[in-house]
Amino acid sequence: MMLPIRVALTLAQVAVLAGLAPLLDNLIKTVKARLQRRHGPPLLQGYRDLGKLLIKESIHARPTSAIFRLAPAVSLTTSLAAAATFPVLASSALAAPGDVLTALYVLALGRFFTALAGLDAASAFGGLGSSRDVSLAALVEPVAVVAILVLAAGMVTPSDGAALAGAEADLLAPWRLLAAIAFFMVILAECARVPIDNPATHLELTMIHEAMLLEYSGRELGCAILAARIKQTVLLAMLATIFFPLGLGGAATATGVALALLALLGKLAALAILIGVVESVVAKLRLFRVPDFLGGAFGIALLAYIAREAL
Amino acid sequence: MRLAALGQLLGLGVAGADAIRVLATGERLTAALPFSGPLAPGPLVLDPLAAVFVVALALVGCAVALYAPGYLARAHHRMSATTQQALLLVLETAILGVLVASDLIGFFICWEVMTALATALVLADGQEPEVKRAAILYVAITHIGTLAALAGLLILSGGASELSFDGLRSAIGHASPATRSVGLALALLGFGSKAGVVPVHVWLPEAHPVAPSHVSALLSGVILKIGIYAMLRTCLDLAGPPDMLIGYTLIVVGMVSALVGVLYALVQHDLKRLLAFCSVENVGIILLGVGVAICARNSGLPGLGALVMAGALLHVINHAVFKGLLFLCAGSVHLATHSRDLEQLGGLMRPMPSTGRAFLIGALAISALPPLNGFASEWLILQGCVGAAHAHGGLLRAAAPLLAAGLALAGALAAACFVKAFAVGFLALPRSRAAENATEAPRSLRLAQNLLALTCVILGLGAPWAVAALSHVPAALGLGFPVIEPSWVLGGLGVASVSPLALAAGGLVVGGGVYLYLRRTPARSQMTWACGQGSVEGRAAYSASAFANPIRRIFSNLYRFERATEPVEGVPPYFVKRSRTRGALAPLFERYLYEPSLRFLHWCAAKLEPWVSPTVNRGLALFAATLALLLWWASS
Repeated sequence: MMLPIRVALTLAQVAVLAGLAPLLDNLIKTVKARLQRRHGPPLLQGYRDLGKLLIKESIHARPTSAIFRLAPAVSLTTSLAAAATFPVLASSALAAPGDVLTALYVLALGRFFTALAGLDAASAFGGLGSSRDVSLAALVEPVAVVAILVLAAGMVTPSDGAALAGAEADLLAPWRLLAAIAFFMVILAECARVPIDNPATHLELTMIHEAMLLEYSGRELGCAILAARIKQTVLLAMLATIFFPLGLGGAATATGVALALLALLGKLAALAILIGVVESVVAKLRLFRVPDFLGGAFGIALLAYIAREAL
Repeated sequence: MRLAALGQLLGLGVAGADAIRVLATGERLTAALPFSGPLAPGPLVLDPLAAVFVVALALVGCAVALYAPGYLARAHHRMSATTQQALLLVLETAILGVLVASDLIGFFICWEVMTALATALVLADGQEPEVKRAAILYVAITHIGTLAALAGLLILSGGASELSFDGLRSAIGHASPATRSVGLALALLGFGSKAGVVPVHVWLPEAHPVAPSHVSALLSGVILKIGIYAMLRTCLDLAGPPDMLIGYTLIVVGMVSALVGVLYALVQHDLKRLLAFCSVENVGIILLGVGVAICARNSGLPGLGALVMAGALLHVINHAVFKGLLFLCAGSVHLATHSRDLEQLGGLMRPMPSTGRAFLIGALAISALPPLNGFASEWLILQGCVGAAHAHGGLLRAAAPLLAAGLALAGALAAACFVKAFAVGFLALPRSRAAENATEAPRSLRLAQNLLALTCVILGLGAPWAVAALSHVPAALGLGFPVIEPSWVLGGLGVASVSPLALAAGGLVVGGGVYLYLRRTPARSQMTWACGQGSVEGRAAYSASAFANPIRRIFSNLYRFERATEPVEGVPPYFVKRSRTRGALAPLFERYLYEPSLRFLHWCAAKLEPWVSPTVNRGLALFAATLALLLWWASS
């Protein structure tokens, strides 16, 4: 396919994922509110909050260095770059700078800077968050890599479009479900969701991700939050399209792209509802029980590999 | 001083240029020596495998040459700067000698000179007992290693009189499998001790931190790699086509070294010790890559094997560059603050912005983050682990997810480790008066640092070209690895492609735009909120030990943290007013491996003692008997 079209489609996919990010997060909040018999925020509240933050002035903590000012831009950029690494709208149309595994490395770059920024303000809360975040990330990465490797065993690369299009035959194979469960647990940990971290907490001592952002304000805070939302959407979209490439049409025709978009919206909404339900019925784990959770995820991912090899 | 530096630059420049020519063509360079005799070394040969290591030496050596005069002029070591420079020159020559030797005599002469001079330089500032202890440990372990390696190679040669590598190659071809295994095991163990492979790594975190920093850069960046070179020369070249067992051994040893190295690095708060442990990790990653390459080749995936081998060799160069950079930065920090203890540093980004930036680039590179050079090579090795899932059955295919997971774990832990090293050292507020009064390093030191930092960036962005430059090396080993086609790096061969240049360009445009928007209005600055107290203090900020605490608890089985709290005031113990707590990691390898072996040795010595001493007569009789036995053996 023509390179300009591929570039345009890649940019469109980044725009779609970035644009959906606040809505998706808001949907999770709404689901949780409904399960608690509250109304919850209106669906577009996420955009309003971010819009407000993104035009306000920032206040910097005095001990901080240039790293603190760079970190929000870096993490937003890495989230956007990760959105370009796997096909979402059409299976064979991507001008990607890398593949799904690249996305993990790119997101790690964003985390590196966010963690540095957490320590930069000389506040103990930020250091607490950074320390916990990078420690848990070290346990999350192996699970993510193995879950993706399960998919890769049998195709050229996990984000190879042609192979994805041919994957519809064994859409409900046990190994695929197991790998998806492992990856879903990865997402819960990576996106600071409930059993690992509480996105709604007001208690600094129990925070992980939010603690790193405590010293941010105004547009920089907005940027950092947007980066986290986009990362969450990207990882969910990865689960939706790489693990279950249903509806991901072959060629990049107008109907194919429209169908893929519809399928994506449906799958993302389903995943958001699932996260909302999980957050409502599961209690947050104590920090040093999280390795058990991630160890379980690793076991499931390995089981998926074994299941794939055995069948 | 300047002359020595210039000489280093010229010599290494010429060597580097030769090496690049060898890499480009895949042909070996040969130069005969002008003297002959029974013990004269053979001709000098530079083949593609050695050329990779020469490039690493040239890159680090040039930066060290630029760095050393300015550093030595300010460091006030016990040994004079001129002596150190002279020793450094000879040391670099000896390293080159090891790499171009084509027979055992030349190889081991240069090897020993290298070890001796490295020890001398470790002792350059050696007043403290711990420096001397480190040097003795280094000499002892690496010498036992050298003896083991020499014995291994002689066993492999099967008593052949020919000591040239060509002669050894044909002699090893005729060796029986048992001889071959024993010889190879001894040689790999021996050379591994020089490379800092777990469990013979214990000297490394002692010796590397106490050396002057530019020497540490050379020790960690290059001399460890010489150990790897010797291992590769033995098991890939001299001992013929490596079998699966060697591949699996390298994989296991590499994986254990990588994980143990990085886990120990994480809990250090001495900056240079942390870097030294991290070298153990990277040596492990390189060996893991080589092991995967060997196994892939033996499992019918020679193309993948070649690519992973190129990745491992690229990591040799990359690690030399970023570890050299990090040690030079640690040296500048030490000059400015007279401290290597992270808990005494902090806030250095303000007084030392240039060193801070260089250290950050090194930290990003060693954490394998795109688009820097560490990412490129670890990426290729990870592709090898993922691609191993395509192997036709066998242990390799079964182990693929574990290999990939282990590598990912090591990479993520390294990132955690360097978040800690950079943030605690350079960010937030100073934790001591020394850190508060630090000044930026002089210009020549900054130049050396910036050069290596730039090399990190260039090797990262130009990774596809760097792999292309190494494309002949795996093929030149003569093991059936194909020449790497450019298209493989870009997505052929079932390997995922990645373009660091595209990532960086796109990232720069988007990130730059976002950054400019964020900075459009000037920000006010306020003191960090300290829960209502007046202001935060450097000493109250998160410390290096606190940062590593979650990892220390998660992996508590490995660390065996031992803590003892004793009351200082207030007896009976129920109303303690003050107490003192000491904590330390249990030295696992020393306690469970080295001490029992030493005890065994002492036990044997004690049992033998009545036989050989205390009378001189008995000793002389034994001496004579031994001589007679040797004469009889030599004549028969």
